[in-house]
Amino acid sequence: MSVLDRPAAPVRPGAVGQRVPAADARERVSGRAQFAIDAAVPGMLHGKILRAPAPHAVIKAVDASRAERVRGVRAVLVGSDLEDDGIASHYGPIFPDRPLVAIDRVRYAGEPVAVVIADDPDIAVEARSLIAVDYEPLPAYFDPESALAADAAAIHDDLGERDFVTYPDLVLAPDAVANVLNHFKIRRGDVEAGFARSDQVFEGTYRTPALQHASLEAHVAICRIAGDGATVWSSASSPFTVRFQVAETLRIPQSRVRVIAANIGGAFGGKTYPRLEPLVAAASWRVGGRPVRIELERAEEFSTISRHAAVVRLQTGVLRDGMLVARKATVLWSAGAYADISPRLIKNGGYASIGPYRIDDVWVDSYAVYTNVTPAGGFRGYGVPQVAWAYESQLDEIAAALGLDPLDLRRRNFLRDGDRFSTGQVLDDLHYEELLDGVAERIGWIGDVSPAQGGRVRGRGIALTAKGTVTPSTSTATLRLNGDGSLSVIAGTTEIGQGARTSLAQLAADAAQVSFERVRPVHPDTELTPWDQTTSSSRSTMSMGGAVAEAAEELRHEIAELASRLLGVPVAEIEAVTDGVRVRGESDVLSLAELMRRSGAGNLLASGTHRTQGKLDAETGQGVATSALFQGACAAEVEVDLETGRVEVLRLAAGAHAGRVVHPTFAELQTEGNVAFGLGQALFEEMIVTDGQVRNASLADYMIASFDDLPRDLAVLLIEAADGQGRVYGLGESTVPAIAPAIGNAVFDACGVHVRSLPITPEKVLRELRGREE
Amino acid sequence: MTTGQIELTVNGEPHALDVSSTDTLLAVLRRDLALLGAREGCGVGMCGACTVLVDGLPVSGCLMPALAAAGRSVTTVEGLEGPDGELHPIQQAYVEHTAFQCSYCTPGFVLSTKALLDGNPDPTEDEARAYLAGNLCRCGSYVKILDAVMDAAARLRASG
Repeated sequence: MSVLDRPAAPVRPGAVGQRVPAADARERVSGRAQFAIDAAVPGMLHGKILRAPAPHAVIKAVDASRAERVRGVRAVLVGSDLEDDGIASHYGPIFPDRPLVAIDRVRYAGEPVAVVIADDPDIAVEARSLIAVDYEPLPAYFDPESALAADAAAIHDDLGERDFVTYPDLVLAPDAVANVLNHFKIRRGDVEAGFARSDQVFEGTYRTPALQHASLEAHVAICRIAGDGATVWSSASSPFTVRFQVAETLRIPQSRVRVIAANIGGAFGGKTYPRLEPLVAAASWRVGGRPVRIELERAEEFSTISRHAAVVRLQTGVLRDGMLVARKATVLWSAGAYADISPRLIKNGGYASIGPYRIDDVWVDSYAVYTNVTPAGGFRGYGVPQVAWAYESQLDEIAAALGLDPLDLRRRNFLRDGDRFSTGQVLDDLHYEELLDGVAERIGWIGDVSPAQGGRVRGRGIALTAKGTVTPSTSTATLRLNGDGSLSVIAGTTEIGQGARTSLAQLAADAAQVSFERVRPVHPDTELTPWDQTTSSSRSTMSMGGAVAEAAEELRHEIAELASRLLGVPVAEIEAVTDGVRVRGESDVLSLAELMRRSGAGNLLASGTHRTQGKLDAETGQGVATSALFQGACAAEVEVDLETGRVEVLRLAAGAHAGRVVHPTFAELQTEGNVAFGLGQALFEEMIVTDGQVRNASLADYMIASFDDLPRDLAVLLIEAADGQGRVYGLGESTVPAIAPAIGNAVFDACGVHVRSLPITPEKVLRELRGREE
Repeated sequence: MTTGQIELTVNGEPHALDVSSTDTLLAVLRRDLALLGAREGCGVGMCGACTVLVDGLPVSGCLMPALAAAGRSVTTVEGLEGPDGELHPIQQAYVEHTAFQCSYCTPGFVLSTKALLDGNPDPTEDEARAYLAGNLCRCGSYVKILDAVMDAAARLRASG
């Protein structure tokens, strides 16, 4: 079924680059791997959330008295409880614009209005139905265009205080326009002059819908407040963002909040920032600190976080030979009712809207817009899939109009070493040539498309994309050589399925010269593991891996010093071997276990820090956007049924620049996961929202890719440095932005219609086909 | 809400349990028997993360009322290992192919694989894909899962 394809994989000694067994593999196949849903605390109560039925309304009154009288109910948390000085009423990673539960107004259907805290979940559900809330509807805006209308009322009267310190990469410029919560700009060159110089200027508007992360593990958290601090067990993928937020909510220092992470059952960006934990902390506070657990039901996930729906308008000026000259991009992001991480995401999506192409005259306006729908946040690809759908679709429209081959058009324009990115940053280690040729070859691009049977047509499409990573960023790690010669990797990176526990152990093993089997990564516990910014942005293998490598260097020094003292020879005479040391020139090896035993050192500790720097100018968007560029490519062959409009993907090749692959199997898995996400986004994934109500809030109605959807012929291409010494790049999001546009372009090639609005449903294909006939 | 006592066999051991009419089999396995391998994903029988075998056939534990399991024999992923804790050949194949990412769905896939191979020891790739289409892996580990399934089938056939 698959072609697993790593060209010229260099042979290296050590664990890195090997298909070593995954950490905890045995636990994972036997059902014993622990997830946050498995956590239980003695005396634990259970919370159930009452959610608003109206998308935008004033709350006239809340009466929870009947619910409070139900036997087994301990308390009901409502907005009026938040007037207490003991709790911060609002939260949010950048703007604290979101009440823990609605206070006097609800801003989207599904917003928490009350939390019933009871002895068991069934009692809480029963009592919840007895809460009476009186709403008075307000005008509501479900898409960014209507929220930006001249007569639109403000969804938020006050943005609250903004945190510039915690997010040094933020470019904050909220306009004095109702419902714009941030505006990111690029002003580079002279875009009007560029258009004037162009032979033709192409215009198009491309849309992508709101999506669900649909981690099979829903959000779940337990909070207990005892003594002078709080402990949180959570499915959150970035425990330190939870620690920060819970400390803010409970008005206590961060050092008094302990966040304990287990394995995470999928995250995809949906668990990066706290969305449930502040509410659980408030619920525990409401019952005097007793532990409270809340596990969301699947339908509630649709009211918790989503991917931004986006409207991308592109004007692109081109010379007759296909050279791209100028681009103006206007991107409207539906942020939903609360800011969450939108102020940052629209920056990253904004600077990415030029794609991996050399364009000198650039003008970008990227707006985060409040709307009365489920808040939007980071989602695998972080804004890039929305803009990539636009620019790669438009590129094939340009190719068709100018009579150029889509591959040649890209070759003429993609970034090469030394070229400048949309932000002016000079780039290197670029590999679009190999990616383009590689994925095209793997779907058999050369020659004619294979013919289809009656009533069906086939076509091919390609897409190239570029994604950055959060910059600046910091990871810190501790390595502990234990008394038995084993090595603990004490790092705040969570295991979300990306294989971080395995890859960090591999990197630690090689850097510290300890055999892989003796390395044990620990799960994050903010009380014990040193700080890490976030497990997201495809950064952990690079960033935490960098911190681990630095710590290993220090550890090797510590080992040599200890051995020098024990053996009475100068440090320079000590030579490291795997799991041991020896005196230079001698054959006898002193094992690390023996070194530790004989020296009585107990354990050896070493730490490392990995930091990156960057910043963009607020007016021009120029500067260093990213410490690494993730280069992705996809080529697809599809068959379109002209009778039904159904699209089937026959062959697909996904390519990423990996630099150096740490674990080949996980690298393939991550890339295949990108494909599964992208396929769903191309063909069927969509939160259907009517009048502010999500109509398909269930995995029976919201489709995610299954075995049925994957192409039979699926190839993965990972580009590595030939010498085996390449820099490690993240792979978690490199290819996902390229999948949907490659499929869309293949549909265009097959039947001549370009559906500019995802997903490419049979209905849309048929409508376009019929429209063309008329 | 009524309650009743049921007797059922779980992983070969008999149990007598007090359950309510609203309890699902999944809830009882997790709450009363501390068997945590079956997990809720969607709550409506669409994702397969809660798959268990009832009298050898795959069932969504989130949909089956616990009362309906009375007198039946239930196998969870915890029941697949041998007496000395050795992994079942299907589990071993999943380990060797790293046929998972977050692994939240893995126990469900492993049990569906067992049901597939019990009924069809020599499936084609298409048959395996069709049979397993009722289990969802959001991480998208399908390629490796299929490799593991075909490998497990070969091993089981070889060992007779």
